[in-house]
Amino acid sequence: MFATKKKNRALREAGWGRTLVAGFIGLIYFSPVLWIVMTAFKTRQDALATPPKLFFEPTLDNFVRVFYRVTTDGDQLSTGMGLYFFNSIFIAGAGVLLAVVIGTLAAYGFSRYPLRGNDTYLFVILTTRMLPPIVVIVPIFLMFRVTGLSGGYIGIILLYAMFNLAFSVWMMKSFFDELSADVEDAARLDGANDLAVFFKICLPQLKAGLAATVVFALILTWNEFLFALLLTGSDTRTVPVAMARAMGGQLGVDWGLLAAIITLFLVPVFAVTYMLQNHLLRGVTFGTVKK
Amino acid sequence: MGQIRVKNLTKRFGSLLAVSDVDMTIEDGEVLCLLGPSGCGKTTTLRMIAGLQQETEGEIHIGNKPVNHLSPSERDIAMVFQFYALYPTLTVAENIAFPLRSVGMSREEIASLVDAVMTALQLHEVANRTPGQLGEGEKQRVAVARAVVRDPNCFLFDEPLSRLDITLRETMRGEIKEILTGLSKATVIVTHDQLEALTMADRIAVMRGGRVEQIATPHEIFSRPANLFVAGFIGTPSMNLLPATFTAQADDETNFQAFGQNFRSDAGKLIRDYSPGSKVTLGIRPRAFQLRSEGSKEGLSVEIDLIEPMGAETLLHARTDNTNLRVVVDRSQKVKVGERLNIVPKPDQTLVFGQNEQLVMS
Repeated sequence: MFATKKKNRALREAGWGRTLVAGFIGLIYFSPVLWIVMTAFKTRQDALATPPKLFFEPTLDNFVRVFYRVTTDGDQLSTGMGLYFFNSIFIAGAGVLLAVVIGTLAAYGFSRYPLRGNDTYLFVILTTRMLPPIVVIVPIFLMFRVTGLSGGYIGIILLYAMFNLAFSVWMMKSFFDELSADVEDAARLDGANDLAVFFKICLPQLKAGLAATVVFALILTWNEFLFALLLTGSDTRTVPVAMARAMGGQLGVDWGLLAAIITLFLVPVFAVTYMLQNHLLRGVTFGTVKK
Repeated sequence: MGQIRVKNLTKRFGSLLAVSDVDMTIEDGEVLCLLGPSGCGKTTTLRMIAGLQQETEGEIHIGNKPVNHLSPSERDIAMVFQFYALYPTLTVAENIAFPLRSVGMSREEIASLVDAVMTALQLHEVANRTPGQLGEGEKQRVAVARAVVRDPNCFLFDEPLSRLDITLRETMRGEIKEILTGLSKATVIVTHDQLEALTMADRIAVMRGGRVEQIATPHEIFSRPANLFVAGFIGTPSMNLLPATFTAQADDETNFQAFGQNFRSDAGKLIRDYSPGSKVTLGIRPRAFQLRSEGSKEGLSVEIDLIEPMGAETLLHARTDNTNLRVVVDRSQKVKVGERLNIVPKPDQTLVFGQNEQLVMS
């Protein structure tokens, strides 16, 4: 109740002028996304029309074509896109979950039980993110070949987990550093063991931080293309790879179809971010302002 | 039995000696205040007793059991932290219940104990709020409630009132004292506020530079400070310390000379023989002076430099021979700046310190 009151007052103070300016700038940022979404509902003619059409008769045709292809005989064939969507959700979900779980535990260790040369280890962890993926793809490809991880779910999930680990360790460590050590001491004196301190006292305080870490890691993983292209097989292909394949065609790029795939592809990430957005803002700004 | 016994307790941080050879015993039911300026090692001592910091040397016994190698949770201690250290994500009721849940008490038992404590500390109204929604005074009461809800061996308080404003501090001081009296457990309170120590403690341990300078009752600390540091630290305004020369001793009366004046002390015999001419320091509390008009035969002739009204009393800054003396008089005494008058110390309240800074009176 208190919070909404404060918000309303802030809105009143902003005034219409500023609100409109902010809305306009927001629209510029959002326009590519909006254009894609609109294209998804256009017929091929509308999509290619010059000048571009802002108003048109929406059709769901493209979305049907994402999943089914009509052959010349009139049969409906699956495009396999359903599987690719499942793959994307499963692989990104599992990879991020693994990274955040391991990363959080590691971050707690780094924050609370520093080793000699703690900062060096943290630096080393970060170096895994310093090289562009294209540079490391060859050795990773060879490693996957040798270990037989290529083409399966486990390989790509582990790779994504490893890739997000550096990020989640660093993020979560900074959040843990912000927590009051006294609170943990108090819990210990109150008879809590280390596990209880971690799960009942520390972690609940970091919901916002966890949300932020999950969202950022998820967006990175969700959109990842290069590793997915080279390390997934036909059964484990993710949507970005499938999308690239859908781009080519005898009749040039099928923009409507592509836009429909992208629109559907946006939905899960959009939904997760929206669900976590209350936490997210607090998580990103966590600790920047002294309470 | 929850006696706390500390022997030769020492803590080094690298080359820094934070706590050095601390010996003390806090009896069951006794309240001991660790008092000292910032950085004197009082909080470190408390944290070592709690087990939150590993001692470098020394022994800690709680209830006749050595606890050096026990973790904080195994020591069965309740502690109130300076910044309360409430669990931010739990409600007030859950905060108070936390120590009971940790020991696996049944739901009904927890509910009744929490209820009783919340009643005693008037926390029912805020039972479902989280710490972020509480005022300072309420946070403090929750912290106390969380400590007293179970039946620990002993209690530790780290600067319990330092975050409260003055009015709240007075109320809470009373409340905490009342609770402690009711609990009758060995209790250690860390504070830098001497008023807090003087009012709440059964005994006070004054610390400086990691050492305990004196452990005694508040009355004794005030009337018989063991050395110049304790003498200067305890009491506001602080004690006047005057360089003097021993002249003669007869029966219970000892005579000195300072600023060309004779001073007499009958507060106690000197514990060793001094030859006339020995240098000593006289300690005279600001409230132990009487005013005489200028030119009277008795006392030290001073000029009033500054007057600070303190409400019921007035603090005078009096100067003689380039030495400033603090004199507190009743507010009914009318004195003007620049006025000259004589001040006479009350003989039974003049303390004598030797050159080693120790009190040299029996």
